[in-house]
Amino acid sequence: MKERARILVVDDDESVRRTFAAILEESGYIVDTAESGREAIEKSNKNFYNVALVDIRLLDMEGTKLLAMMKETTPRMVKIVITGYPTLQNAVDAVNMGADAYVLKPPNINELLNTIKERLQKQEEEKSYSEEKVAEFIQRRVREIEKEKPK
Amino acid sequence: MRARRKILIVMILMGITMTLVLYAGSQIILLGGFARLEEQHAQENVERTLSVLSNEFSELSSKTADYAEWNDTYNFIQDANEEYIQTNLGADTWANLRIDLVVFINSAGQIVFGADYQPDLTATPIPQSLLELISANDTLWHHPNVDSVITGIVPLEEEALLIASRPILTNDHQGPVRGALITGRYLDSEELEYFAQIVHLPLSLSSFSDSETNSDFYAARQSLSKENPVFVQPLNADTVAGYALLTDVYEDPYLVLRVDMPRDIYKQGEASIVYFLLSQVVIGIIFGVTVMLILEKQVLSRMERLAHDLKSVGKSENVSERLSWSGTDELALLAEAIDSMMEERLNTIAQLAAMVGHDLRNPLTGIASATYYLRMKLGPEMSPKIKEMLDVIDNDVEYSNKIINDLSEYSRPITLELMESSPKSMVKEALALVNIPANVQVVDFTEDKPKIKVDADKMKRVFVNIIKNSFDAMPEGGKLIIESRETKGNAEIAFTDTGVGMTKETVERIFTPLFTTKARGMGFGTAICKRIIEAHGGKISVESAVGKGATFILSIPVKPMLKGGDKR
Repeated sequence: MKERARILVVDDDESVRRTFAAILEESGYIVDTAESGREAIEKSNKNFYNVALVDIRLLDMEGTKLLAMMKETTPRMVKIVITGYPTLQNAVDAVNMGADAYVLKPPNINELLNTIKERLQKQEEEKSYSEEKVAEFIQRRVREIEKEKPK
Repeated sequence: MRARRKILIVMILMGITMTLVLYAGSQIILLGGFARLEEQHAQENVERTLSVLSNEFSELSSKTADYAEWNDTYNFIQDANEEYIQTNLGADTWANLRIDLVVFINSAGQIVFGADYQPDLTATPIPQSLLELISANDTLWHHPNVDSVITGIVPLEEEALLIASRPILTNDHQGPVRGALITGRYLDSEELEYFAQIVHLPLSLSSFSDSETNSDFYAARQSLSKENPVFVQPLNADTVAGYALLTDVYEDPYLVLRVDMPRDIYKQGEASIVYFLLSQVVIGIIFGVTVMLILEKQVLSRMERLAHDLKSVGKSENVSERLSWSGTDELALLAEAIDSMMEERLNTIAQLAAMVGHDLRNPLTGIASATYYLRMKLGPEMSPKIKEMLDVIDNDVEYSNKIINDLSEYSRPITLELMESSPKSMVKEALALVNIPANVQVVDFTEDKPKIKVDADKMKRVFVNIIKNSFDAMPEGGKLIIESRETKGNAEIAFTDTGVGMTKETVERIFTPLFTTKARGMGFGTAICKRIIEAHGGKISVESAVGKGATFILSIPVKPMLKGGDKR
């Protein structure tokens, strides 16, 4: 069975976190949430996420800054910036900091789910290109699963 | 009151006041000076006339001495010989000397010979009044020593008489004095004319004791005395008169002599003042007109223009529109200050709108996501009513989002990203974004020419807005015709619908922000359209009547003339 993808939702607004989490879980993803940049960094250090949905404005830092501070992973984490401030500067900053997509609030949820799906497929393809990396990934996942088991 | 009128009135009042002050000043100081000068001049003339009179007495006196200091006369006064009379006392002799009367009086006061020569060279006895005066006292003929001379005016009843009286002596001016020789000259009109010719001025006489009060002499008599023997007064605008008091030989006031003089000096003074005042008035008018012109050009008309510009900026739908005055003077600085104030206010509003927008977008995201979740959970088997309610929520989220977008859009200056496009391609893209109602037929006659440089995204929004509005105007269905053509460097695109049309009032206000005929809508749609078109340097207009449909016409320059540019 195919591994369920893990998504980290980073937003300072509670209702956004809760509804996004509900929809994404309902869509078959494993979802984690963070309400601040600091919490997001901590979680991304501890766990692997396939996708991060990041609000561009957080209470403790700019979302674009957070993108740069989150741990590099293999395969590369998909970063989607979501914002209520649709300005050109924000979009440029987001892309420069390595965002894969840029979504406006309130989002069209269908489109957002499609974007996530497409990005994950791409990630999947990239993953299968490198056997070595796949092996490494499996080993890591095994360790991680072992760690999670006691929970 | 308007400043223009106020300044004008103040300046006119100032001009009048200054002229009055100058007039009063010149009357008092200048004209007073001229009057004093005139008086002085008149006094000099009076004195000149008096000196002529005095010369007359000297001349009379010396002629008298010629006869009085003569041995023949010295003898005649004692013997009254007829020979002397025949030889020396003929009328023609005295007429040559301009002597009218002679009286020989001996030391005892007896008249030895006396004659009054008439103009026809006959001799008559001396006047009775003179005889009486001679017999009354010795004033006229008593000479205490050889050098004694008596001259003066004798007040006869008939006429004033100028006399000279000399002691009768020997040839070599030796006494004893044997009486007196009196010669006289009548101060008649002829004599007065003689004086007048010498002084070149008209002269006239009046008795000091005259009691008439009507003539100018009355005032002179009131003022004249032995202490003030000269008096001057203007008779009229052309003549000034100088008066001199003449005393008789007994030192009593007797006659008043008047010298008439033209008022040349005073008139010159008056002319100078008139010239001075006129030039002052002319200078005042030139000054006033110049000041008003400068004020008008530099301040007043520009202030009006500022007010006018401010009004039109206030009415403008383009929030980026500014006064944009250039210059370094106070008004340009004021305009600049107003511009920067508007800029700041607008920035504040934009920030506020962006803040409100962001803050509202989060809850909207929550609502939209929650609805989505419910749809997922309930799946296809949810009841129609629940589905309807969820649709209402979705629609309202979308509508709220549109309001936020419009608001933040409207409060932000427009930045254009130009790219080449054509009417046809823009209309095509816009039509792709709207759902054409089934009962509406859209006919697209637009062409690929001309190519225009526009911000395609924003222009698309304009087109979508107009197209959606036309659909809204045709709830019962109809036809939307879109045409394009090229005119004088502009691409013109017309949207004609067969909808319900608009009232005249609606047509007038359709592009004003916050004006809407819809129950739902902030009224930003057409205002934003206008703003975008104007930012391209183009124009948007509408023609419509109730029941006759509506035609929106966009006119976009092929080469964009950027207007209401973005400073940010």
